[in-house]
Amino acid sequence: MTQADQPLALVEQFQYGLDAPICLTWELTYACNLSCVHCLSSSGRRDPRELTTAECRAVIDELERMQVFYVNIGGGEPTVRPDFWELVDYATAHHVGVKFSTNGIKITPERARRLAASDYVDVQISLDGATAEVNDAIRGPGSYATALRAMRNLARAGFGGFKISVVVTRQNAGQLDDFKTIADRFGAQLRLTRLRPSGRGADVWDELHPTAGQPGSSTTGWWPAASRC
Amino acid sequence: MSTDAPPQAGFDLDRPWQLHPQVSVRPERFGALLYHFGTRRLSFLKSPALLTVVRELGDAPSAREACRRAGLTEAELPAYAAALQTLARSQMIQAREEP
Repeated sequence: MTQADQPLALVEQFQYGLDAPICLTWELTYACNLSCVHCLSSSGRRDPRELTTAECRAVIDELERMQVFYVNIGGGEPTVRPDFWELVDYATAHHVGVKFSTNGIKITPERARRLAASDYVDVQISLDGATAEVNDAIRGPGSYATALRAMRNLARAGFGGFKISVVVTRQNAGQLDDFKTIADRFGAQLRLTRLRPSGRGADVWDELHPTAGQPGSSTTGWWPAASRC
Repeated sequence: MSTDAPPQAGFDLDRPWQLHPQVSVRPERFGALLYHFGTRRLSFLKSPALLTVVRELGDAPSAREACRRAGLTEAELPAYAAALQTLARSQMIQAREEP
């Protein structure tokens, strides 16, 4: 066998990396109906330079050519883009799965039914307090009710296993069991993420980061050195 | 081979199998990546021959025939059966019901 015929050992092949990402994160818009105090991307106002619908479709076309398995769409609040659902349909029709993060504002009963009918869409609802008092102090008035309504709509539509994403803070670190109770009630999966001192998160870091001894503090060893999408 | 899970007896090479309909396959230089949209799990196919087997499964009357089409020898079959068993356990492939 010549050198060319001999396959490289796996460990050597992995040094070349993959042909394309497995998934990637796309901040589709910085427009948001909320303005959470810890927002990583300091979202709220739409960036006038954000991609047009046609440009978004072209990105999806490229992801399809690269055979990227799925894209995590966030923002901002991606569902406030009028073309959001059209783009989700476009991606899944082109074999690019979609996982999107939302505060739940547009998850109506009808929309929940349509999402539940797709095999290629996953939904992640953000919730930063297991009570309205703790959540709304960070995410704004009414945001707890909005998130819970979205969860109820998804559960009633039969959307099993959607994600509830919690940024662990000093104020909610004592509510982890209550978050789990909420997730179980809706047949959802609880996903904990760390507070990051980025965007407005840098402004509130001193007040919000979990302190030593709290679940999720930097001393608990919960968080991987590198985060994955 | 597909994963590091221990081989397990019992993969039925003589029945028809198929890729799960919710699984996407992306060829890579080492073999392929499989992503299951239902379970949201990823698997590595760590040889190009295993990718050929997986691609042939849906058309072949049996997994054994898919392996033959991929050019595998008798001696290689047990290792490939173990890899297929691992893929079956993680629902990447499934038994195909013949009409």
